[in-house]
Parts: sequence; structure tokens; C-alpha cells
Amino acid sequence: MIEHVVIDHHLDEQAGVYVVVIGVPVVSQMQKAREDGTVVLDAETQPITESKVVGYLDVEDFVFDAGDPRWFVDGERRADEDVAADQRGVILDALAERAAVREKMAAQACEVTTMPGVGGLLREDSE
Amino acid sequence: MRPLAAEIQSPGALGLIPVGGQISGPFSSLPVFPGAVFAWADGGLIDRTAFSTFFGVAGHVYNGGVDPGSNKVRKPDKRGRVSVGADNFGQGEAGRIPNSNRALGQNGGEERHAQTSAELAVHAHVVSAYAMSVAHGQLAYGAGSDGFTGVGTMPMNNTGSGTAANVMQPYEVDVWVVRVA
Repeated sequence: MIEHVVIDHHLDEQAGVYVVVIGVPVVSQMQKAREDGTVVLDAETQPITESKVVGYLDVEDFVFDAGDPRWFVDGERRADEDVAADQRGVILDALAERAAVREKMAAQACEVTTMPGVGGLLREDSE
Repeated sequence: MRPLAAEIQSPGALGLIPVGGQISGPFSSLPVFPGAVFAWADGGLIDRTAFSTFFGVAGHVYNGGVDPGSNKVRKPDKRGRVSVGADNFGQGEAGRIPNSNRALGQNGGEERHAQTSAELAVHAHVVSAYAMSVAHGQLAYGAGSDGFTGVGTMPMNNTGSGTAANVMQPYEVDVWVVRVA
């Protein structure tokens, strides 16, 4: 299962919404280098590598209305930690539901018969 | 024959744009059509009772299937985005974007992409091996000749910057509106 990370999650009071942005991090193993480009070596003269997040794929955003009763208890806004956990749980449920639909559609995909000659030249006499 | 602009703006042409339909243009204010309501396609929330037809068409697809709460529905968010045809409507899956998100209304993509080593084609870096020895205070080296001993690691300096590349398709910037009633 693809593991998303939370790239951004904030309350925009002016717009009256919570915004949640998720994505799949793209991690690259890179040799640690000095500013001049030379590789940093360890005591055994081996290059030191480090993991770096160089970007995100499948970035997607969700919003929740800030005035929704789910974020309040007795008229008071709930703790940010609780609201954040609830909202991320809702998103996880939606992603799981989407994955289930996708699996179901894949299972229902009609069978096809591959005809001979795939990968060959279109003009048979040009070999 | 293409309709003229005046014909498009006539009330009779409203049927061409159903509720939930989107149009783009150089709009600085919302288009006004008698009998229709347009809103910015900016991902904002609107009341789903007041715009029940829109909610009936779109549901929560423009919020990833998530109910934003407070009896609201999210409009499409075309800011900085282009539309892509779903891969699996009509006759079924076309398989043209099998690795992309395919749920209706789902968003994604990136303006710039930083390539990772995993995305490079398989390739080799060739380094000639040299043997070395130190004798009489002088460092000697050679291509594996007799008398040279000791093989160590020869690090190669990094090259490239890791700067993200622009992956935008040719584009023209417009403003998008959506018919919500």
C-alpha cells in the first residue's frame, strides 16, 4: 500500500476551512557533498550517502469546513491534535474506499486476446 | 458551424452547459447568464442544499470523496490545473494513464520534477583501477604494473545539481468557472 505523508495541514480562518495536503515522498539516496561538489568520505574513505526527499508525487488536497460540528465540543473548538487525527482518519477511509473501488474495477476488466505479431514490424516483407 | 459569441451568450444556449459543466476564458468577473449561476472553479465550499443540482451531479468528487462537513460541497479547483480525461469512462479502461490517479475529481501532478537515481536508465560508471605504493617517500602509481600494491577506493565527485526540471506541457492560462445552478 502506498504510504502518503502529510505535506501540509492548517486552519485557514479567513477562508473558514481546514486544508490537508498529502503526497507520496520521492526519496533519493545521494552522496553527501560539500559546497564545491566534492564527496564527503567517512574514516574508511567510503562516500557518505544520505536520504533526501526531493519531491512529492500524487499530491492531493482536501478541505473541511472549519465550522463543522465535528471539530467542536460544547461550543469549544477541540484540540488541534484531536481534530488533525480525526481529519486524517477521514481521509484514510476515503483513500481505502477508493482503492477498493479500483480493485473491483480491475477485477471486472474484460479479458482481451492478444493477436500474433505484436512487437513485430507492421510491414511483414521488410525484414 | 461554430456558434457566434452572441449566440453562446443567449439564454437559449444555456442548455449547452449543464450544471456541473465548466468553461474557461479571460474572465475578471463571473459570467452572467439569465437563469444560470456560475461560480469560480476555485475549490471553495458552497451550500449543498442551495446548490442541490450541482451536489447531485458532483457529490464529493472534488474533495477526494471526503465530506467537508457543514452541509457543504466543494467546487472543482482549477487553479493551476488542467483537466485530464478519466481513463475509465464510457467503454471502460483505456490504459493510457494506468499509473496515475483515476478517481473522478481526483487531483495530482506537479509543475516541476526532481529526478531521482531510481528514475535513471541503468548505466555504468567505468573507473580504471590503479595500484599504488609509497616508496622512498614518493607516491607512485600505475595501471596494475608489477611492484605496485594496495588497491583502495577511488571516489568520484558528484556531478549535476538535482535541480527540478519543468514538466509543464505547452499551456495558455485561463480562468475557469463552473455552473452550479
